[in-house]
Amino acid sequence: VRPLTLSFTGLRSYDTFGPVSFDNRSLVGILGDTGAGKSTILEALCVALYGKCSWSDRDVKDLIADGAPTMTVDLTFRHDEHRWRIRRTFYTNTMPTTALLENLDTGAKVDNIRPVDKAIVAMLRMDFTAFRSAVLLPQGRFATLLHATDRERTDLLKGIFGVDTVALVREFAQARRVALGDLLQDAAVSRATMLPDPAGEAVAAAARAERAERQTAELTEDITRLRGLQSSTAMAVNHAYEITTALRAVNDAADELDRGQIESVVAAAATIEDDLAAAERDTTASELQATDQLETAEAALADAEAAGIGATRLASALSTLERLHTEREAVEAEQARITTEAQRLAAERARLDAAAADDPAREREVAQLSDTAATIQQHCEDVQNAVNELTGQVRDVLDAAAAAASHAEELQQLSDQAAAVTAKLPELERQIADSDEALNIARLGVESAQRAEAAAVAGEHLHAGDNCPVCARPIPGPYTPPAPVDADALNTAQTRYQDASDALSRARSQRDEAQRRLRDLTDTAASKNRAAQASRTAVTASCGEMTGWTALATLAAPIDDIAWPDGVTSPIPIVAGTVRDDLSAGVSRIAAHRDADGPQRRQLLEHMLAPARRYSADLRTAAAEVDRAAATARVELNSERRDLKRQVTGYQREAEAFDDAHRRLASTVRKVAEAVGNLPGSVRAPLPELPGADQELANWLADLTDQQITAARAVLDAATAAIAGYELDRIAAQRRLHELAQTRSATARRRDIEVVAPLRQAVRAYENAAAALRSARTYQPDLPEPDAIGVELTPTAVRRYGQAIVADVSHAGVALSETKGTADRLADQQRRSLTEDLSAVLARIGEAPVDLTIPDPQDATLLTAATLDPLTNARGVAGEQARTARAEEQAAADQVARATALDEAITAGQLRRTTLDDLCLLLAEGKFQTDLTDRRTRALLGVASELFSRLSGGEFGYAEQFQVVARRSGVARSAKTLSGGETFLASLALALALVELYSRTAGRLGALFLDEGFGSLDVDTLAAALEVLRAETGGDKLVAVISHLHAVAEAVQDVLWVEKDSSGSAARWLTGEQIADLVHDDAAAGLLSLT
Amino acid sequence: LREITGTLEQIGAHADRIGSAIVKVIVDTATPSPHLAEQVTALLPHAEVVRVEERCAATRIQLLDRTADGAEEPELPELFRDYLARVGTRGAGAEHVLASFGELLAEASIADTVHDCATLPEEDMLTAVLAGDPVPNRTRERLLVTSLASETRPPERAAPRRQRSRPRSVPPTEMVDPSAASSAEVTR
Repeated sequence: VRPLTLSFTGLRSYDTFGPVSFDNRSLVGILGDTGAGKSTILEALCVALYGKCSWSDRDVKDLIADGAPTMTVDLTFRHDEHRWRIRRTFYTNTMPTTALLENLDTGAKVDNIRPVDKAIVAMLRMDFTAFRSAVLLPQGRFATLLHATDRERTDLLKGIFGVDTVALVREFAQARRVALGDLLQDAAVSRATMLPDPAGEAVAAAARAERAERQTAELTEDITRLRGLQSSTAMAVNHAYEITTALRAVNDAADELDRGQIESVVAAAATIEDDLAAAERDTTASELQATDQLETAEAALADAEAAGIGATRLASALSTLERLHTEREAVEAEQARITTEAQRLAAERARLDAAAADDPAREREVAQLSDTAATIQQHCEDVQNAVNELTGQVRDVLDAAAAAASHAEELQQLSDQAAAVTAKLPELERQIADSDEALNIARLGVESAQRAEAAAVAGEHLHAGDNCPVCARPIPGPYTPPAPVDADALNTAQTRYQDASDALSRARSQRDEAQRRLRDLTDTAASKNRAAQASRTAVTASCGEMTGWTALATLAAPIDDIAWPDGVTSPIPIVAGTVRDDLSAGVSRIAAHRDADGPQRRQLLEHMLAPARRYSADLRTAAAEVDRAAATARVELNSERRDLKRQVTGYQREAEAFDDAHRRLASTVRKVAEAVGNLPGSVRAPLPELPGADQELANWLADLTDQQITAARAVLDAATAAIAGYELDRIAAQRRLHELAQTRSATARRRDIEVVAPLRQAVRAYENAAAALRSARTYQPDLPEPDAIGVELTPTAVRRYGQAIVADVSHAGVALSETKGTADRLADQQRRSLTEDLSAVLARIGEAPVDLTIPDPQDATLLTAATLDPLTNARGVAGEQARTARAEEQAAADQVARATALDEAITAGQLRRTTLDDLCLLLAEGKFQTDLTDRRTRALLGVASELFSRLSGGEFGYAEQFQVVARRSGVARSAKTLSGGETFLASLALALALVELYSRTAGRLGALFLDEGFGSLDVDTLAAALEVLRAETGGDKLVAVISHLHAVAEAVQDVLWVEKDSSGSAARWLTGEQIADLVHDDAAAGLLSLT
Repeated sequence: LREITGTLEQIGAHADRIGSAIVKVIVDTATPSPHLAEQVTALLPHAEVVRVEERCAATRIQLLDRTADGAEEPELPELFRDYLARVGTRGAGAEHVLASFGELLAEASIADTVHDCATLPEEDMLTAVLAGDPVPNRTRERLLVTSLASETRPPERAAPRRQRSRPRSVPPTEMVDPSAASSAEVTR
């Protein structure tokens, strides 16, 4: 993996980075101050390739810059001569991370995290741990490979060494071996179901088939010929038989006609036919007479119907007249009932109107009661508010009185304390005077001692005659220097002076404190005195204002203009004077320091306010009672209104029912009048004329008399009798015509039985004879065609037909006898030929059953199919043998190709399986994998040892097992005992060796990233290490060195300078001049530090 | 600073010449000496000894260095061929084993797991025969028994069996060359 360009956004301290190109750069220094963001560039590489952090196993989202919604990393790199681009995007919210790997040369893409991670590991042949240990050496963790255990080291390097590949090849070999074994087993099972030698078996079966097929063909030919012979013989025999049958039929017909019975039947039928014709002529005359009678009756009935007095109209008129009495009585009764109901409804309507008129007065009564309840309720609330207000006012007066008493008491206590302090002041002044005197005495003592000591010091080296250092006069002799002052005495004097000074300070302090206390007490007393005076003034003012309290007036005033309902008592207001007296007495008690505490004041308060509270409670009770009375009145009024509404509804329903009855009566009357109007005119004539208006119909009906109805009924009965006479005539004519039709039918039946049936029997006998004649013409075409029967079955026609048939039958018998003799002879000859041919074939087969007998030429079985059964059986057996042989040949032939292919595939598969068996063993962990690991480890350490020597100035090298060896002494050193610089160089040597070794084998590592580590090197070692790096880079390799040392810039080819400000980190390539300046500044700074 | 190398005897012989110089001493010994620093100090009483290193013949460890042919690390097929020449096979032909290794190694460059591994031509042939299908000539030509059946036939390389988007880590030129395998010194 050889990075080409890198860009990223929202990663740690970077808002954006790049794109930065690493193409055509070999040795790159990523430089900058500590904390500038250099290592973040390597983090971006790890995130791009593996989606992981280099410095921990924590969630890579921890790398997202503060406040950035996303983190994207975009890396283009070259691997195995292909250019690849990998992009990953991480989100701070719950959106899933995206990853895309793209081959920029082929366009192939891999999407999603897991497939991309998998593709990267497979491509680089190393997982992230190996990458972090071998390719990207993170800050502080570059010695992972050096310090790893053997096991860990093997795991880290197995991808680079190709051991992973060998293990994968072995897995593939095992998988293919198992799959191959299964297929070989299936193939063996399949081959076992086939013939051992399918080709040979096919040839043998073909020979058998040919033999059987030849025999079958010969027998088929024989059977076909013999069946033809059987058929022709059977036709000859049948022809002779048919001629015999026809001759027998002709002879039988002649015998039947010769017996004479048929002619007598025809004669009897002729006689009966004459009688039947005479009877039919009589019947026809009678039918004409009856028809005339029927037509006359029907014409009379039609005339009556046209005149409106038909049978239907008369029946309807009869029904109308019969129910006219009943309808008249019912109408009269309903009219009487309707009149009575109308009177009752009028009275009910008057009663309901009167009840509705009372409702406004009732409503006013209830409203007045509700107003009264509201007024009392409002007064009740006013009284309660007055009680509350009075309670507060009285409590304020009592509290003010208690406060005034308390202030007076505190004032007295302050006065007592001030007197006590004033009494102590003279004593304190005396103590100050005593202390001042003691201090003056001590001061003199100290001054005396100090003078003595000064004199002793000054005179210590003087002699008589010397000038006095004080007065400059000569010292007289003899002179004795003053004795030095005792040190203890001077100290004692100073101590006494200090004690006296302290005592004076204490006395003055106490006096000042007493004076300050006295001033405080005086000020406090004045303040308390003003407060007591104010309290007393307030109490006096409150008591004086009490007569003007509105609350007291409210409680004492009676309730005016209230009409109390019956049973409710008016409460009695309080007496204001009593409350004032109680309040004055209470204030006096408190001022006298009695009942001044809280509970006592509350008790006094309760006592004074008890009448007011009682009055308020009584008023609430009265208000509740009035309210209940108003509510009860409202409920009763509403109940009465609901009853009235129900009664009005009932009245309306009855009025509607009355109207319905009235309409029904009018309808009934109209229907009766309509029925009367529909009566025939002659029947309606005796009744009075119907009125024109509907209102008069009822009266018309009521005025109708029984005599009028009876007269109309008589007219109706006369018309009905006339119609009945015409109806009887019509029925009699119809009955006569029916009887004549039955007579004609009986005559026809008798003709069928006694005339037509015998004639048909005679014709049938003649037709039988004609049929025999037509059969005979089949074998003797010269015979005449018999005549056909006539259309009519009359005795004359039948007799003529019979005579012609008898003549033809006689002639046909003679001619047909000659034809029969010729046919019999031909049949005999054919039978004999068939018998001879069959005998010859059976003799040739030679395989016929022993009990087989050939039928006689006259035997009927000779011509049956069963006679040839031995031949068909033999042919069947031969055919079956041929089919079986061909099937066996085909089956064997079918197996040839598959068996050959299976044998070939099994041979190839077994060879491969044997090979895979050995390959799996050889590639096992303890075998080739171990050999490969050992070999490439040696190669790695060889290169690393040489590089380590160059890096360390010939100091160190590597031996087996990654042992670090001091070259001069040959002594192995534990890697953990190396210094920081040595450890870095040892790791750098390993990393460079890995890059070189990897580039020799399958892939190309292409890049190495070193994060710090140079800081642990001294100046000379650093220079040597950078020199080695310069030498090792080249070609397409990229070695990137991260360092905070500016001196590194001198050794690298390109410098990516990283710096950070308030807006975040940024990176840029430095020009050659900038690199030179950087190195120069660093050197100058180093010189300055030396001075 | 002077560096002095030699046995204790040799160092002691030069003690006068060393005098009071500042020295780093490397002592050649036959066996490990526990109090070497004291012995050297005693031998060089006037010198300022800053460091004493022991170069013990008994514990001297052989350093590793680049081999002569280290510039080219052999590929896996070559290493496997060498390994096979040393250990031999159990019964299969060495050429067949090498050829199979080469085929599966080529497969490993394009398949990541066993499930992705392509079938061998012998499997394809058996599968086709069992299904009653014809065996393609391409399959037949790749059979182990065919590819190495005759030495007169030109060697065939294991061609990639299917195209993948990912390039091959092991290019085709690095596949097993059967002709090379047949010329190797292989023991059974």
